[in-house]
Amino acid sequence: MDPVQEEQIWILQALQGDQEAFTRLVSRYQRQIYNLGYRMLGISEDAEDVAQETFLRAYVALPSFQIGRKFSSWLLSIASNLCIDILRRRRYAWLSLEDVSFRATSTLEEPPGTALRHERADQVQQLLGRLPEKYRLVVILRYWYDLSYEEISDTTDLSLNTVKTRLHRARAMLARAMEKEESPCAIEPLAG
Amino acid sequence: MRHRTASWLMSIQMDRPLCPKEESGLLQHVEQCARCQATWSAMLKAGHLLSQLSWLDPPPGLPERVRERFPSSRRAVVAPAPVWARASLMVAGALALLLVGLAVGALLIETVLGKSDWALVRKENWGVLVSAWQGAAHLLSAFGTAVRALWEGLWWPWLPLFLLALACAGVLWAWLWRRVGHRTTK
Repeated sequence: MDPVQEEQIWILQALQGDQEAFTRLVSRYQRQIYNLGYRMLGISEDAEDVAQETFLRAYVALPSFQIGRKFSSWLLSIASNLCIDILRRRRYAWLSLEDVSFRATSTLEEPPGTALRHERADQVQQLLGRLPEKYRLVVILRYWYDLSYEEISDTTDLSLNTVKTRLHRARAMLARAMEKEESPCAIEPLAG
Repeated sequence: MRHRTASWLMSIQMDRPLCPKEESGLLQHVEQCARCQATWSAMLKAGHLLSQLSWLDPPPGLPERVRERFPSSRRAVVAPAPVWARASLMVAGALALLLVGLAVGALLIETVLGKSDWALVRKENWGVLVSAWQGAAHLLSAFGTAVRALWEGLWWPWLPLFLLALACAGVLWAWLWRRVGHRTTK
């Protein structure tokens, strides 16, 4: 059966209270949601919390889901909002992004058996961690999820122009950071 | 071409092909500008790094852990956004706007007509209350009297308290709106 049709059947079954059907949706999308959480927050425990909370909220709010809309975009929008809320709370708790990126790259936080062991993976995660969250989100959606401008706009509830601008600014910041890294100077948080 | 424009086009080009005119302009600029050459090279390198990074596997048993947390009914976990709450907030907001509009209108009429006595305005208009405009003017004048009373008679200490109450109501309304609006389920 076509995966999209299969997904719609699961959604309809879940709407009628079939928890097994919704669990199948969780299995299908857990990787996407977990990775978004990890790339945004840099901590595997937080990523799992975000994933669990996203699926729970989606389950509860499923009656408001518009059939025909992309289910993954809907889930990503819930997860994105959750991640941004967590990052804001962290900021209020005076925990700087520097600390987060440090924790993200420490050996304790690396999930075992993943490509994060690679030096370059650390480098990228560190770069991401230093981007302001609104820019980080569009970069993640563009590069990991390969979403188009329109899909990012739908997921983040931003206008197309804002998406393009944020993507451009994020790339410019990353480029500056890359240029700095090639010269032996201290790493500083990226400024907008 | 300005550096900023070049940088913008570089970013666009990483997502979709540019039109020939934009592309040739960008290439021409980059050939002559060492700064933009470095930026483009760094942008491409960053983009390459980002796209190379592999996906992580979620911790095993995640779906089962989510399932254990499923509520028995959908209303149990997330505060629902009841229609009545949303509607009443909108009605309250519309009424507040209407009141502010009426107050401003009443004060404007006073300024335009040059009348300082609202009772006089009402009296003068009473006999010729035939058109809709005059009816509206009459209502506004009555409201204007009330606004004026508040402004003049109750200036101190009620006005600061009134403004404080208004600010508190605004904060409460914003908080309720955020809670009820529940943006994660748009």
